[in-house]
Amino acid sequence: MSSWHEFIFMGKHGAFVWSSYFMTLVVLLGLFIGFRMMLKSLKKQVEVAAVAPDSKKQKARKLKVSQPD
Amino acid sequence: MANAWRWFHQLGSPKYLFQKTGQWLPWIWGATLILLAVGLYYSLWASPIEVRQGQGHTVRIMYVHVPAAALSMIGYIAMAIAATVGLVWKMKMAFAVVRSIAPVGAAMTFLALFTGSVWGKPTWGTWWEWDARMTSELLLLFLYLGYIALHASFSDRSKADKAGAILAIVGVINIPIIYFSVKWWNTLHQGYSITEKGALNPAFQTPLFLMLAGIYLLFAALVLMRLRAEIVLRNQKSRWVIEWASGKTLERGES
Repeated sequence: MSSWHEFIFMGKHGAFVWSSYFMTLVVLLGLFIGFRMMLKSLKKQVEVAAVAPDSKKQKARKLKVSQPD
Repeated sequence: MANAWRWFHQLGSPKYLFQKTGQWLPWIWGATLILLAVGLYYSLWASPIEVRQGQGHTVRIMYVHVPAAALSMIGYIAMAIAATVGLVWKMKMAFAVVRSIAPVGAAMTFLALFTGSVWGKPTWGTWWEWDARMTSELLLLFLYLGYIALHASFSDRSKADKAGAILAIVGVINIPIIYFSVKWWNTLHQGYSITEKGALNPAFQTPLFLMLAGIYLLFAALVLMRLRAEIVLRNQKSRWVIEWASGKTLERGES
């Protein structure tokens, strides 16, 4: 690479090179943020369920087996 | 050997796996960021353009295309191995691993197809060709998405895990087809660049190997992040999860 101009335009192929790198960044960053949010919201959900009094606890849905009392 | 076997068993414990992955992740992220920073410097700035085939700067697409394509296949093989472990040893955490690899593997497959298409236009003059390499890679994307959809279609998680595992194992037949497609058929896609001696000019090897290492680690880090969320999702009622979420130790009998 000899200049910033060449770096930005990549010969005549700037759009091809940069769109590849940009798409890679967007997809991988998206996964990172998504997974982070997933863990955070699960943590919050567990925390809320733990502090709620038993009477207010949401009954588990889609139960397949009978729960012991 | 006995130690390795014991460790393998410990990994089957959700709590142990959650704690260990939490300890590994900062190190993996650190190494990933260093490798990617150096790798990007080489791949976008310090490496030469391709002259022999007249590709010029488009050769730089290779440094994301090859790692993404390699990981799309490696990820699926890893899924099939974890699925086998889950089915044979009835290890629930193995199924959580399968489920965690799927979205990251699908993303890599998409990126391999996207960057390949963007590279194909200036090089071959076409965005897409139904040749064996590209068609089988597209099929791989559908296998990943199929697994995710199949897993989501069951309300019973253990059934979802088993059905998904079978799809993951059956689908692995597509991997040798992708890999050997450039040898078995006359494809528009070029032949092997890395495994064949002399195919890749040494000047392109430094950025490629740095990006391969960086993106492999990034893949591992993302899978572990997803796995940690999956472990919590599957163990919401467990005492240790509640303790982790609320940040305090519970009294006996309380949960």
